[in-house]
Amino acid sequence: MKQAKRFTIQRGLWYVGGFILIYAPFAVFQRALAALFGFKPRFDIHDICFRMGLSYTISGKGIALWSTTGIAFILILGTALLAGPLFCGKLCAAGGLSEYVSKLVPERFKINWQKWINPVPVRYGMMTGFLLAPFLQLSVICAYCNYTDLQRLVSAGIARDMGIWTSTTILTTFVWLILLGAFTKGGRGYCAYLCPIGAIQSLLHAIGAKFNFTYKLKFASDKCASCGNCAKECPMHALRVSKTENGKKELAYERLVCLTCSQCVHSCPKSALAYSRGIDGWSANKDKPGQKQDHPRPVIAHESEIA
Amino acid sequence: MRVSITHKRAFSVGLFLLLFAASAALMLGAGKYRTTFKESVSATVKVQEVNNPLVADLGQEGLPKKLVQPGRLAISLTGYADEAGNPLWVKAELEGGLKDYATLDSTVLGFDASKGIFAQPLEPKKTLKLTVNLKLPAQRIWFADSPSISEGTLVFTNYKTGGKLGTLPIQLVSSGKSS
Repeated sequence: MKQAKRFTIQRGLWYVGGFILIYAPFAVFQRALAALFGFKPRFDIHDICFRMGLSYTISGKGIALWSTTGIAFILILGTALLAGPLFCGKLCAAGGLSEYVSKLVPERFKINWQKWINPVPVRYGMMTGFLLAPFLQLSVICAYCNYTDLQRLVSAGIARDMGIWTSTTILTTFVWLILLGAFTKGGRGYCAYLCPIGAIQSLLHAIGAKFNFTYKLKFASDKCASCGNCAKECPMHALRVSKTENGKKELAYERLVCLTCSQCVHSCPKSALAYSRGIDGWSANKDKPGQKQDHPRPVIAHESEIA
Repeated sequence: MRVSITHKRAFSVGLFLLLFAASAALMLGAGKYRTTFKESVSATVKVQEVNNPLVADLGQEGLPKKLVQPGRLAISLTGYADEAGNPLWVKAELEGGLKDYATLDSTVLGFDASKGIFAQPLEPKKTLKLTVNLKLPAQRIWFADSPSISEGTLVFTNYKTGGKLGTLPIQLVSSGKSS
């Protein structure tokens, strides 16, 4: 568990790095591209807004690929295909902030939404709505954006003035940081249910993971002791120890929600999980003799049962 | 047993589709909700004329804004000069009741917010950007007994000559309040 805690701190530093990389006042990534290629700088998160990139691409408006936005868009989607949603898992300061804020709240005050509501249909339903919105002359890109909210919070801190917030900004901040952040188990409710960029990356990761040359979360079922440490540590609840109908415990993995943050890898005492290339091993888990395969979503064991 | 599994799977698939559709609808509904209120005011004004009054209605704000930031409003103005004439050394100043709750700001380089002075002259056919940031106490909005909250006048003067250029009356109202 010490290793898991150490990795939690290490991951936190990654998010700080991600913040320095793309958020004002630093915006190192944007500044580097501006210096290298002479792009017109804006030096805040809007310069590389993936949501605008995604929405504009789908709605036919398009994005200039040879621009800060275009390069960031290609990088994020390319890495998602080849190595999973690394941006979410390693660099997204907005997601990281809500997760780390939730660590300050006692567990008894937190809701485990994922126990009741499967994030996959919600996440992809939200993404579909997000992509359909421009066709119906509706705007959801900036109105419900937690990247923008984080940038606003930082600006407010620097200026010592909250500035003027809109109703949608207030709502989004409440949902992202408070309701689905601080008071949600794992602190990543916004990421799990609402973020279209996380959803599109996970979708690409699910496709990419079918190939051996890509990086993915791998599982060695013969090493697994079903202790549930990984499931407890996973901020997205992508891993769950479930009970099959014959009473055996098995580890279930939902790649469409996984951030590939590798927290689970560092919390496994038996090294049953690894993030590397090759065959993922999850199907072997299903094929273990004596275990049923035809249950789409097994009965979830409560944390107390796992313990 | 087989029937039970089939039913279970059908239920799971149905629930999945229902959640998917509801979530998509929720996101579109959120987009629609965004269009039901108006929380920003912008206008184009003629710097050298007496402009029609600008009415900013706080009653059209969304509920979260009304609760959290009821008295905060930014009025974004684009001021333009006549097509012919000399460059204008513009000073903008608020007069009237709104003065106590407003600050001026501009993205134009060299703008002195404390004095409302634009360091660069406004050339003919060119525009300037000016934002009036209002910060009224919540009580003024929540407990107002009439639709009219406050009012003031933005006065443009030429600070080189001291001559008055134009004005923009601003009325702050809350349409939800009974008169």
